[in-house]
Amino acid sequence: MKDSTDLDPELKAMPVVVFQLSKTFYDESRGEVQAVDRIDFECHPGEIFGLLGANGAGKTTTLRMLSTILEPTSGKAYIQGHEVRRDPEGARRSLGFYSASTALYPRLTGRETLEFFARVNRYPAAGVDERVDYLIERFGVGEYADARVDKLSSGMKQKVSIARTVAHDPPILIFDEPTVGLDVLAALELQNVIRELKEDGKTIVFSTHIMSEAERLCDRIAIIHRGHILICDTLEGLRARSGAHYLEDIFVHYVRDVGGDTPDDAVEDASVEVLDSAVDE
Amino acid sequence: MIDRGSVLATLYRYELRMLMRDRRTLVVSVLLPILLMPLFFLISLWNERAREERYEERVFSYAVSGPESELVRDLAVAGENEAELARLRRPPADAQDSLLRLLEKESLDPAAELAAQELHFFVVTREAITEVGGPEALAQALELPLVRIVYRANWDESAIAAREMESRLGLGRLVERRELLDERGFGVREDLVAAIESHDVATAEQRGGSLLGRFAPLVLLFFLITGGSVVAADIIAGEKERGTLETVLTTSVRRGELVAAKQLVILTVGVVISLVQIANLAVYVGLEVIEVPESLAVDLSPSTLIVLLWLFLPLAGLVAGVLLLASGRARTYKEFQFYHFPIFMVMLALGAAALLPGVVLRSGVVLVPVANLSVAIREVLTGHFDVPMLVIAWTISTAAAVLGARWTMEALSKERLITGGGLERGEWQGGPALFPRRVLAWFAVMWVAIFLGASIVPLFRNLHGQLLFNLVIVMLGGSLLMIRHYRLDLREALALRPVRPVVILAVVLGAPGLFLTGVALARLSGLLFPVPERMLEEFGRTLMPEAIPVWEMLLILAVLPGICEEIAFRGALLHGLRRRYSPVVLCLVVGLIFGLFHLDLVRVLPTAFLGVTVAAVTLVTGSLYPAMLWHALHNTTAFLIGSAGVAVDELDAGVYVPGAIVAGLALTLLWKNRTPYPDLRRGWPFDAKLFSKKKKRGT
Repeated sequence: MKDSTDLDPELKAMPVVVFQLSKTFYDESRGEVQAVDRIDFECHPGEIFGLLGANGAGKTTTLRMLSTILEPTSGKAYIQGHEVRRDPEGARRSLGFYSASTALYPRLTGRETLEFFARVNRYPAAGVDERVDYLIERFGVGEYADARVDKLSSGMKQKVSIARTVAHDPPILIFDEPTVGLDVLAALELQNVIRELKEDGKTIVFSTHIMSEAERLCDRIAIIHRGHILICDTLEGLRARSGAHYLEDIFVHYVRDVGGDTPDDAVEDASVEVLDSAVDE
Repeated sequence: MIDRGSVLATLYRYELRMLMRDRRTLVVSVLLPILLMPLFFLISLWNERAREERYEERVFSYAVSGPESELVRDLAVAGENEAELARLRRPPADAQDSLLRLLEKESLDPAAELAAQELHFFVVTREAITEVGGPEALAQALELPLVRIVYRANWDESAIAAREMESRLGLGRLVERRELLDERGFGVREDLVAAIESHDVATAEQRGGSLLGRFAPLVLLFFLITGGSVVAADIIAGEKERGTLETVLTTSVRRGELVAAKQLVILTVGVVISLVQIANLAVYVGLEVIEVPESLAVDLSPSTLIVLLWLFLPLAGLVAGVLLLASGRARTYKEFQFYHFPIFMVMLALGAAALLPGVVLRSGVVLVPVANLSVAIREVLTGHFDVPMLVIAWTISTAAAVLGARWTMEALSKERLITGGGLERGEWQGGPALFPRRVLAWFAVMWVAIFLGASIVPLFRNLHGQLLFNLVIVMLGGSLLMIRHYRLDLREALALRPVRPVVILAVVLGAPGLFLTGVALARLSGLLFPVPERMLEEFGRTLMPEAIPVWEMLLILAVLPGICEEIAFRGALLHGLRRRYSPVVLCLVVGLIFGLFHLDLVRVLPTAFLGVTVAAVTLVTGSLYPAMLWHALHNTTAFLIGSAGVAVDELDAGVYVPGAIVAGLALTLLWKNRTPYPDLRRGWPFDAKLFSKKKKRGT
C-alpha cells in the first residue's frame, strides 16, 4: 500500500483526491452490484465541486466512502492527504459531513450539540467555548441555543445541523444532497450558506440531482451515472464540449452517449437500484 | 495535542447526560426496579405471614370411618400430646407458635365432601385391598389394622392437614409401642439408649453466606440486565433509528472510543442500579419494614466487600458487553427486543451455576464466563478464597467482556447497519468465503456440546462413551459437516498433502522428546502454580482404567485422538483461521482452543502445549499427516510410560534433558525441510521470500 508512488505530488496537495475508487455491494436478490466503478476526480482548494447524478448513480456511496462510513472495495481516496482506509480518523478530522440522514441528538440543546461535536472532533479544548459562541452567532441560532433540539423548528434544526458540521472548523465540507426535502426558501438559504462557507476558504464537495442547484453553485461539475464519472469540468467547459447551454441538456447529452439511454430510462434504472435508498428518497 | 482521554470523557459525559434526560428510560430502567424490588419482598413477606396466620387460626376438619376408627382417634390424641411435648421442649426461637388444629366431623360420604372441599381429608381403616405389596399387603399378612389417609395434593390446606395427621399417627404409634413394651417389662425409652444431637461448626455468617451466595449472583444479574438492557437498546439501536449514529461515525471519533464510552455508560447504569438496590434493601431492613431471617446473617468485612466488588465489575462489564453487542447488531429497537429474551435466559442460566450443589470454582466451571463469577461470589461469601481460581475466573470473564466490546466495534463497521441493505462479500458468496467468519462459532457450539455431554449425560462419563462422543461425533462429525456445509475442498481444508520421509523421521523422534520436555516444563511451572495432589490422582484414574487391553487403549487413546482431533483442530480450525492471524498467533490460538476442549482444568495447559506444537508442525510441513502422527505418538508415549508404572513427573533430569535435545533436533530437522502451509497471513517466522508470489496480491 505505497500511496506516494501512485500519485504525483501535485495531486497529493489537493484537498480531495479520488483515485480508481470502487464499491461493490452484495445483495441477496440482485447479486453483485457495482455501485461505484473506478472513479477518479480531485477537488481544488476553495472550490465547490458538484457530483451531479440521478438517484442511485453512486453519489451517496462515493461521499460515504470519502467520509469513511463505507470502506472502498478498491482504489484510494485522500482527504487532506489522509488515505481513507489507512487513516480514517485523520480523514474524518479534516472534514465535516452533512446529509439529510445525519440527524442531531434530540435530547441535547443546540449549544451542547456544538460543544459535543467540537470536542469529539478534537478541536483544541481551550478554544471550544469561544468557537461555540461564534457558531451560534454566525449561523443565527441565537436565542434558541439553549432549547433542546427536539423542540426546535425544522429551519432552526437545519441551522444547528450546519453549525455542527463545521464545529471543528474543518478545511473540507461534504454536503450529500443537502436540499432534499427542503422547501424552496430553505433550499435557497442553504445554498447561500454553502456559498458563504466557500468564501471562508472551505473546499466543498456537493452532491445533487437538481440541475439548477449545480448550475448556480458549483465551480466544477462531475456527471456521475451508474457508478461511472462520465465527464468532469467547469460549467463553461461542459458547455463548450457538449455544445449545449443548459446543464439539463448537457446531462442528457452525456448520459445518452453512454448506453443510448434517455434520461427517463436512466432515472427508471436508477429507481430500481435503491442502494442509497436510505438517503435518496 | 490530541487528548484521547478527553474524547472518551466527552462521549461518556454526553451519553450520560442524554440518558438522564430521557424520562422513559430512567423510569423503566432505574425508578421502576427501585420501587418494585422492595414491593416484591414486602408482598412475599406479607404473603408468608398471612399464610402462617391463616393456618394457625384455621380449624381443619376430617372424618374417620371403618372398624378401627377408635384406634385412629387414640393414636391421634397420643400423637398430638407427644408433638405438643416436643414443641415445648424445643428452644423458643425454633418453636412453632402452636400446632395445627384438626377437628373430626361426622360424614356420610367423606369422598364427596373432600371433593366439595368440606373436609380437608379423611381416614379410612381396613378398606378393601386393591394392590399387592406395600404396607397394605403387610397389614393383610399380619392381620393388622390398616389406616389410610385420603387427601388432595392440589389443595394446599388438604395436603398440610393430611401431613400433620400422618405425623401425629406416626408419633401416636410410637407412644403406643412404648406403652406396650412398658407393660411387658421392656420399658426403655429411646432417649435413654443414647443422647443424639448434631452440632454445626459453621458460623452463622458462613451459613448465611452460603445461602445468600446461592442467590446473590442471580439477583445481581437480574438487576444488571433489567437496568442495562433498556439503556443498551437506546444507545446503539436507538441511535441507528434516530439517524444520529451516522452523524457521530462521520466525526473523528474512533469506533473503539464510541463503543468504550457506551459500554461504560451501560456499566455505570448497571452498577448504580445494583448499588442503589442494595442500599434500598438496606434502608428497608434498617427501618424494619423487611425482617431479615436470622439465617441470613452475613459477615461482610471490608476485604470481603472489596473482593466482591472486584468480582462484580467484570460481571457488570460482561452484561454490558453482551447487551451492547446485541444492540450493535440490531438495526432497530425491535430487532434488539428479539435478542433480549435469549440473552436474559442464557445469562440467568449461567448465573444459576451457584445454585447447583457441589459445583466448586476449582473445576471446569472456572472457564465459563458469568458462571465462574457466580460460583466465585458464592465461595467468597462463605469465606472461601481460592485466589488463583478467582484470578482465572475474573480474567476469563473480563476477557469475554472485552471481546463483546470488540465484536460490537466490528458490528458497527458493518455496512448494512448504516446503508440499510447489502451483505458482506462472504455472506453473499457463502461457501469457502464465509467459512473463516463462522469457524469459531462452530467450535463454540462443539465446545458446548462436549461440555454438556461431560456434565449431564452419564453415559459419557465412562471412557469409551466419552471418547466416542467427543472424538467421533463432535470433532470428526462436526469437522466433516463444516467441510460439507461450506463446500470446502477436503484435501485443501485438511491439508492432506504427502510429506517426505525425513519429516516422518523427525516426527518419530520429536513427539516423545517433546512430551518429556513438556512434562519437565509442567514440573517447573508446578513450582510456581501448584496443582493439588488430589486432582492429579483423579486425572490419572480416569485416564487409566485397568480392565481394557493395551491395543484397545492405544487405539482409543492414541490413534483415534490423533485422527479426529487433528482433523478438527489442525485441519478445519487452522484452515479457517489461517488468514486471520499471523503464524505465531495462529499456533497459539489453535493450541489454546484445543486446550480448552479438555475441560479438566489440569489438562488445559499440557494439551494446549501439545496443540501449539502440532499446529506449528502443520504450518511448517504444510500437511496434517505429521501432526496426526505426532499427536498419536505423544499419547502413546504418555500411555506406555504410565502403564509401565513409572510416574512420569518423578523422572530425573537424565531423562528430561536428552528428551529436550532430541525434540530440538527434530524441530530443527522439520524447519530445514519446511514446505509451509499455503495461503497464510504473512509474519514471523516465515520470511517474505517464501511468499514472494503473494506479496503483491496481499494488498
